[in-house]
Parts: sequence; structure tokens; C-alpha cells
Amino acid sequence: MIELQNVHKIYVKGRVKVPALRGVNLNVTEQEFLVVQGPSGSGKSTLLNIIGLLDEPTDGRLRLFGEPTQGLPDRERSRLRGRSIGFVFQSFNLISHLRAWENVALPLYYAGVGRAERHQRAITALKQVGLSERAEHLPAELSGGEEQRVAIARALVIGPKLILADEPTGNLDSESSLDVMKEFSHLNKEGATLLIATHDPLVTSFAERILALRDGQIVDEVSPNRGEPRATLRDDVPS
Amino acid sequence: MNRSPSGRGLILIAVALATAVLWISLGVREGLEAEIRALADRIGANLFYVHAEGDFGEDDLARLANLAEVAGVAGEGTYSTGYFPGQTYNITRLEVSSNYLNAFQLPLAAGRSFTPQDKAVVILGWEVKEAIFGEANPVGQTLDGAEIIGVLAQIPSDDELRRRLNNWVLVPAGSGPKSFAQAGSSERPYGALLVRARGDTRRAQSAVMRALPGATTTPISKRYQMYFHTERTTNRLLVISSLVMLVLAGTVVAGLLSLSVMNRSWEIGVRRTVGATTQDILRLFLVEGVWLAGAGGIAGICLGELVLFLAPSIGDSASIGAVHALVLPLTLTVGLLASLHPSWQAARISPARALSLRTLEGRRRYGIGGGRLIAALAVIIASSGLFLLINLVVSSQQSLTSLWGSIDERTFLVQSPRQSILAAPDLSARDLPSLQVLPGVEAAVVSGSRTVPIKGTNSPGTSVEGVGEGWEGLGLLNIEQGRDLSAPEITEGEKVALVAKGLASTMFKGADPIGQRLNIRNAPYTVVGVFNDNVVLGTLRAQVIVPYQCLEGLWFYHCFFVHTDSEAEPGEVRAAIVDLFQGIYPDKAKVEIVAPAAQVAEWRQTLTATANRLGILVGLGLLLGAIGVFNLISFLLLLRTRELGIRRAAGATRNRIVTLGVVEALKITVPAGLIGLSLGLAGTGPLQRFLGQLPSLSWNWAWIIVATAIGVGLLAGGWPAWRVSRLSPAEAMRRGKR
Repeated sequence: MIELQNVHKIYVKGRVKVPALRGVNLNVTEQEFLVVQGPSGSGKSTLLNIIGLLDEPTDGRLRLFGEPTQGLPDRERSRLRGRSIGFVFQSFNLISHLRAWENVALPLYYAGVGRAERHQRAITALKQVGLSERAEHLPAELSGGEEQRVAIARALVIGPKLILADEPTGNLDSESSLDVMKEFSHLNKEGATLLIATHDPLVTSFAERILALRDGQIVDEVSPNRGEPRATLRDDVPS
Repeated sequence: MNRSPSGRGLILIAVALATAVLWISLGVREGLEAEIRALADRIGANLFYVHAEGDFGEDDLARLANLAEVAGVAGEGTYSTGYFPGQTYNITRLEVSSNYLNAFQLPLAAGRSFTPQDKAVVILGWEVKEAIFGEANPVGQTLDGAEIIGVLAQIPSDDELRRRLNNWVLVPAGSGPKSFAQAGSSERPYGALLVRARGDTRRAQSAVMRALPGATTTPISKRYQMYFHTERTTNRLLVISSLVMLVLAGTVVAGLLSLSVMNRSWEIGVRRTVGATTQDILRLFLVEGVWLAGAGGIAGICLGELVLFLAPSIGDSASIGAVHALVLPLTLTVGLLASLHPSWQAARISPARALSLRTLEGRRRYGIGGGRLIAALAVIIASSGLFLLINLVVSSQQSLTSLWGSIDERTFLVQSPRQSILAAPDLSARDLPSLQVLPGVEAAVVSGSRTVPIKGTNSPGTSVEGVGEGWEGLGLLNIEQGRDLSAPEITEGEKVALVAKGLASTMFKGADPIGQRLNIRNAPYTVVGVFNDNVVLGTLRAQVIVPYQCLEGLWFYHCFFVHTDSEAEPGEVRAAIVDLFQGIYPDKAKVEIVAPAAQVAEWRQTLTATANRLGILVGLGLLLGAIGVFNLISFLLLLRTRELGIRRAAGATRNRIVTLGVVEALKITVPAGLIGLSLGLAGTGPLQRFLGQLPSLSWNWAWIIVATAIGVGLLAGGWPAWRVSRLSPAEAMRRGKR
């Protein structure tokens, strides 16, 4: 489903070049629940941005859903994002002047879905996360957990093949975090592929595979349900 | 998410105010144009003049009359003015073709129009009839040997093109310059032709120009427009200034939208994340800009109408015309153009970058676009406009007040009329005693004038005015330097003089004129005072004033200054004076009475109306500048909210925070004000040329521009800073983190 070959990303800040990813190779299969771990600045968010077509790699190749993404025009990239990928962020990223259902319906708006259908599908998605009664509320009127569940509803409203989440529990208490993870687990069981960047042990406990990222490189990979860490990868780390 | 400080309210206000001003300016312009059209319609807008290098003859009239596009042709000959030998009338006569009255839509009050066979006949204008024959019907009588066959009905005074005919007489073409009776002496008597179009006027004009190669045509409406040249130019300037203001509002809106884009970059990121394309983002901001401009435009139109309704002095004759239909589309276009760059800015941010700009510090690095430049531009334009406005108002007021000394409606001037049908009375000092004993007259002073050569001046003749006893008590002049003539000097006829400021600077080349000598008819006079150049005494623009006795018997023209007593009704006294001189000079024209106070009041009224209109434009410019600065400072402070929280936690007082905002604002407004001031100074020359009589403009009021720039900075920077300073340090740090 996702294939990264020798992906590099370098940010240029004035005269300084800051490498964020350095030759990342990664394969993610369909319906996999993958967690990316690493300290701040390790390149987790950059990796998610590139996979989610929010950013382009400086070098290397990315194949998404079996198709190469290199040179894809903006319209195609936007269409793929809007119809196949759901995003969940640490800070929820809800638009403050839109009501909960309007936030959820936003991807449908850009997919060209009519208003009545948008409303209906948004309410259905909110029901899925248990928030249908809060549909008319503005984000400021919701708790942190509720905001994140609205963000999840927005991610799942399009029926995405892939859900990318960047620290989804970072701003939540433990109870809300558990609710959110149950939701993700449910979506994964329904068929969605999940890729989550996190520090939270709770999240890793749900993962099928855990990648450790440091200084823009994958330095470790663990498959808790399958057994031991893969020492060969660790050996690849340059000294 | 933080709400944008570059709120939609500010955009609406900026567009609404600019649209309102444009609406009003167009209304004022349209009012005058409608008035001109109405005047042309009285004669028929399908009438046009034809001129050529040479004069026209009857053959030309016949050629044009045969054209299918022409309904009728009349000829207008040359006119001549003057006293005729042995006559007491000063009459202007116009030679015309026999169908002229019909072509020019001139109704008769009595008698008949011309026929082609008429020779040695005359038709009188209404005022000519009134002056010579009074109430009697003159038809059938003779004037200068010509039979009076008709009298024109009185033409209303607002009909600038035709009202002169009230004071003229019409004679058949070819009557010659010498006498009404000598008709038929010229073969080509017409200087202009009046053509009435059949059907489309433009087609008729083309047909006429083809028939008479080299001829030019002027529609009657254009002729009327020429009489309103100054008003039309002023209106055009107002409309252009209003359009500039709308463009300025557009740039302010562009700045506001740019800042809004930066403030909403995170929202853009979210939208892009969920599938919005660059076109979607472009469309989002374009639609928002155009929608806001449209809403502002509609609000502005309502506001403009309200102002015209509530403040008729701003646009007393304003009316709505077809051109007003363009205002809203124009506003929408300005909104669209203003949103183009900000929308493009919004569309080209990559989604990942837009999301990363959620950090306020990140947005700061992204920059603040041209917001600073646009705010400065508005302040520059407003400052230069303010400088010109202040100079216009202040210097004109100074000019009006320095023109005359203590004048009121009880002081006026009695003089021979400058233009009259009957010969003007030759007033003299002999008339003074009769005037002095007239009931209600407190004081009457004789004044004589003539032009004499004076050494040291640039012109061959200088206007000298002699003033008689009682002058010193009137206090008519504002003496700028030195003193007025004293009673003993006037009584004794001492050789002392008052000199106009301009003449003094020419003659004495910057030296103190007081005590200097000048020679008038070989006699030395000592300068005792200097007065303003623009004072008009009698019929001349006085340049030197001396005691009357000095040149007694040598004065060419006389007039009288009259001051009524406080008990008397000035109007009644004026009427009594006219009657007095009618009695003294029974066959002459009535004396003319000029009231300086009324003149000054009229000038003030015109000045106030102009100043009001310019003031609105300048005020709008300042407001737009203030909005731009306010928004920019709000945004800068928003970016620094966290920093301000940290500063407050570290001990900074609220005043320090307010000072920070004010200093940021002053860094924009003060340099902009100074640039505006320089532009204002550069613009004074063209303004003086346009307004003609405006006295020299000065630096004296420059401090107001600087003070205004500082004031705008204090308000536009201080207000948002004050709001931020009210936040607790903890709240400021918390908000800044978001």
C-alpha cells in the first residue's frame, strides 16, 4: 500500500540545510497498524507529511496505493488526500468558525458532495464516534477528547484506505486517549491502514508494528504480535 | 485558533466609506450635468453650432437646409457694443437670420419675429426694453432709426447661454456695424450657424461637416458645459479623488486580506489536508474578498444616499444618474483585484508549510507582506491631502479677512455700473453733499481713481486711488504694515501714501517700505502703510492710496464709501441711494452698490462647500491609513503575544506594552506623514494654478500634519497595544503558544 524508497527530505532555512529524513525505506501493507516512534525532531511528522502527500520528498520515491506519486499534479494529489487519506493531528486542527458537523463534512465538500448528503454522512460519522448530539457545536464548546473524536470523524467520513495520525493522544487525558485508540482499532478492523506517530505507550500497545526513527532514519522495528525486534535493521545504522 | 485581527468589519468599513464618497461625488457631478442637460433641453438637445475659419453666407444656410439630416438652419452674426453718436444707450446688438428666434427657441413678449424681407428693424431684449421704455410697449417705435418690431420674453438668469440676449438687441443680418438702419451691407454676415438635426444629431453633424468642409460642430449641450467649466473641473477632481480613495481602500483591503491569509494559514493547511486544491483555496479567498467588497459597496451606497439626504450642503443639487450603476461593479472589481494577490499567496502555500505556520513564530518568519507599505501609502496620501486642504482653507480665510478691515452689511460702495444699457452716470465729488445728508447715512466718503505712471514699477500705469475726509473712520482696510492715512493728512492733502504689498515688494525690493518715497506726477509721497493687494476700490484694483486732495481735479472715476447708521435698515438706505442718483442723473443707468460683506460671505460659502468635500476625502484617507496601521499593529502584537506575556512576567508594566505598539505605529505614520507633507508642498503649485486667486501657501501649518501623523500612530498603535496589555501574563503566554 505504501512504499518508500530511499526517501530524503531536506529543509533549507536561509543558508542552512536541515536534513529531516535520510534515506528512509519502508513498506506498509494493507490494513496494517503501524506506529512510528522517536524523539522530537527525529522526522516523524515529516514522514507522515510525505506519505500523506502534504509535502514532497527532496529525493527518493513514494508509491501510494500501488501508484507512483512523483510528478503528480496538485489536483491529483488533492484528490487522493481528500478521498483516500484521513488525517488526525495532535492539536485536532478543527476550524474554529465551523460547527462540528461542518468540520467533519469538509473533505466531502472538496470531493464535490452535495450539502444534504454531506450533512447526512457527517452525522453518521459523528454517530460512529459517539458525538452526534454535539453536531451543532463549535470546537470551542467541546472538550479536548470530543474535539479529537470530531477530528477522527472527519478522517473517517470519506471511508479512507489510509489514516495518518500525528500524536493523536498528545493533548488528551488517559480516558479520552483510550476512547480514541479504541476508535482507531475499530477503524483498522474495518479495513483501514493506520500509521500513527506517537510517544504514547498506550498507542504502541495497539500497534502491529513499531518503527523507531532517529535523526531522519529508521533505527529499529518491532512487531509485538510477531516477536522480536529486527536486529538486522539496527545493524544498518551508520556510526 | 486565534480570530483574525484583520477582521471583516474593517474591510467592510474601508470599502463602504470609499464607496459612499464616490457615490456622493458622482451625485454632485451628475446633479450639475443634469442641470446642464436640462438647460440644453429647453432649446432642444438636437441643436448644434457650426463654425468655420471664415464667415457664412445665405448660400451656406441654403445648402445645409437642403440636407435630409437637417430640420432647420439659422445664422448668428457678429455682435457689436458701444455708444452710438448722439445716443445715450450702450447697446450690444446681434445680427441674426430671420428664423433665428425660432431656431433658438426665443419666445416674444410683444410684437413679431423677423421676416426675410425685413430691413431696418430691431427686436429688443427684455432688459433693454425695461431700461429704455419701462412698462410701455415699444413695438412700433424706433431705436436709432430702426423700427422696433418685437420684444423678447425675459430669459431666466440660470440660462447662461441665452440670458445675455436680455441685454442685447437683435437686428437682421447685414445691418452693419454702424447703425441698425443700414441693413444688407455684408454678403457673408454669419459667424456661426445654428442647425437643428432631423433624427440622429451625430449623423446630422457628419452631414454638415461633409457639406461644409473645414467646418466644426458643437452640440448645444457642449456650449452650456463651457459656462460651467470651473464647477465641472472641480467635480471631475472630486470624482478622480474619490476613485483614488477607492483604489486606496482596495490596497488597504489587499493588506488586510494578506494579513488575514497569514493569520489563517493554519486553516488553509487543514483545508488542503482534507482535499482542497490550490484552485479551491484561491476561490475561497477571491469569493470572500469580492463578497466583502460587495457588502461594503452596498453599505457605502446606502451611506452615501443617507449623507446626501441628511447633509444637503454637501451635495445640494446632487442627483442619481446612469453612471451610479457602475459604482457597485466597480467596487466588486476593486474587491476582486484586491483579493488576487492575497488569494494567490494563500493558494501557493504548501499544506505542510501552512500547518507548520500554526506556530505564531513561524508565521512571523513567513513575513507580513506589504501591509506596512500599504498602511504607509494611505497615510502619505491623506497627509498630503490634509496639507493642501489646510492651506486652502487657512490661506483663503486669511485672504478674505485681510482683504477688508471692519466691514459689515452697513458698509458698501456706490459706483457707476461697469456694464449698462443706458450710459453710466459720471459720478463726481459734487454728489457727496447730497449723499451725506441722506437719511440713514452715517458717513459718506468720496474716492477718485486714475492710472498714473510711477517710477520703479514694472507697468506703465499704476492704479492710484484718492480718498476723502472720513476715510480714516471707516477702517475699511487691513493695514499689514505701518498705519492708515490720518484725518489731518487727508484734510490737509499731505503727500503720504498707502501701497499694496505686491507693489511695495517690487518697488522697494525687500527693504522696509515704511518711510520710502515714491513719485506721483512729479511729486514725492512718503509711504506710511502697506495693505493687501487684492482690495478693489471703486472700479480699479487699488495699488496706491493717497489723500483725495492731492490730485483734486485730476481723478477720472469717482465712487463713494457709505456707512449707514445703526438705526437704519441697510436695504432701505441702498434703495434711497439709487433713487438719489436717479434724480441727479435722470437719463443715465442706475448706480451699482457693492457690499463687501456680502461678497466675502459668498466667497466663504463657496470655500466652505469645497472644504467640506475635500475634508471628507482627506478624512477618509486618514481613516484608511489608521485602519491599515491598526490592523498591522494588531497582527504584529498577535505574533508577539507570547513574548509580551514573558515580558510582563519579567516585570514589564502595561504602559511598556502600550509604548511598544505606539512606537511600532509611529515608525510607519511619522515618516509617511513627512513624505505626505513633502508631496503636499510639491502639489501647492498646481493647486494654486488651478484655483487662481489662492494666496501663497506656507509651511506654517506643517506641524498639523506631523501632529496628525503622530495622532494616527498613537491611536492606531495604542489601541491594539492597550487591548493586549489588559491580558494577564499567564493568559498572554497561553495564547501565544497556540
